[in-house]
Amino acid sequence: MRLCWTIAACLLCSLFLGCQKSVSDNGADKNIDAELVRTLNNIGVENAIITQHTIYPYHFVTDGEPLNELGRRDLAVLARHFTENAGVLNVRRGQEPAALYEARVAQVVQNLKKAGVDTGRLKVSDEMPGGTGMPSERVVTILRLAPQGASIAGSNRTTMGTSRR
Amino acid sequence: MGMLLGGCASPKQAGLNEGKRFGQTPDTFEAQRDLPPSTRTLYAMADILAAQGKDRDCEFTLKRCIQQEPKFTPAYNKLAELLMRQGRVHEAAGVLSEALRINDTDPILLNNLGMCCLVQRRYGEAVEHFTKAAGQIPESAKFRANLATALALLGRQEESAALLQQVLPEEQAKHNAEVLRKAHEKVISGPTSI
Repeated sequence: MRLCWTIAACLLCSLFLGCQKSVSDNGADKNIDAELVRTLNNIGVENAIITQHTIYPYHFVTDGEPLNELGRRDLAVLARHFTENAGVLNVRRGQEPAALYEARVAQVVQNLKKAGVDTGRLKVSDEMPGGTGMPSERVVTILRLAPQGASIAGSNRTTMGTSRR
Repeated sequence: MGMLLGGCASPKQAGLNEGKRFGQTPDTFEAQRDLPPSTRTLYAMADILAAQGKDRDCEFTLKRCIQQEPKFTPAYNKLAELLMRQGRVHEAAGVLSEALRINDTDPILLNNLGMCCLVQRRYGEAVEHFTKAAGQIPESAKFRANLATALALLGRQEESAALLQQVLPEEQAKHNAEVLRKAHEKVISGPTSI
């Protein structure tokens, strides 16, 4: 009889411990899941930003030229991409006056330089006219990286300067 | 076995163990028994009251939470949610603005205040708040989608569609953009609710 009680008590204890472990494991799993979802979301959003390669008016402070927090973050994603890759960055004008728009384009270029995009590879031009009745949009073209060992100074820069478009 | 069961059944025993678990001696725990409930306890109680539909008690409890610990921003959020549910949007916006004076970068507060502005049709302000919230947590699909909604209701359809494409599959993004475009048309055509 005593043996039965001992076995029952051991079983109960092991069950109890088992439940406790399971609860703590679930907590850790939840944290991992949350972090995984966060990372996947981040990758998804960053890929979309690179695909769009466009800075919109909502990225700027209202009626102002500086980029807002979201603008700085999104441009940082693009800057990371453009340090390694060539490509084109559009800056949408929206309904803004020309002077403000020019200042915004300058801000974007300045931020790209600050982020480490080679200034020799930056080219700002009016390459993308918006069509009839639409204002033309500035395009910041980031030229292809020079092959290792090659000079990117002087006129060589221009000859290598074919954008990906 | 008997001791185990006895331990579980006796509330006094359980209470003592609880005290030990938080690094308190049984004496300290006994001494704290008569203290008023902590802010966390009140906050948890507000949850229970809300679940029971006791909105008045819940509101009172949350206000007490805020009075007791004015820097505890989750209580402001919960109070604003309660007020929004009751249609007291103006009061909810006031509560959230007050909380933002304590922590002006809290993305949840910013997003919720943006929602209040959206309901009040102050779309420009909603854009400001959603942009700030998305700036704090750029990977948040919710904040970007809310920003897209506010932009669309301002008539900035291209920007809205671009944001939706960042957080939704292409077909869903297109569908949502179309829904928002129609909502904007309704907004500019008359005072009917969206």
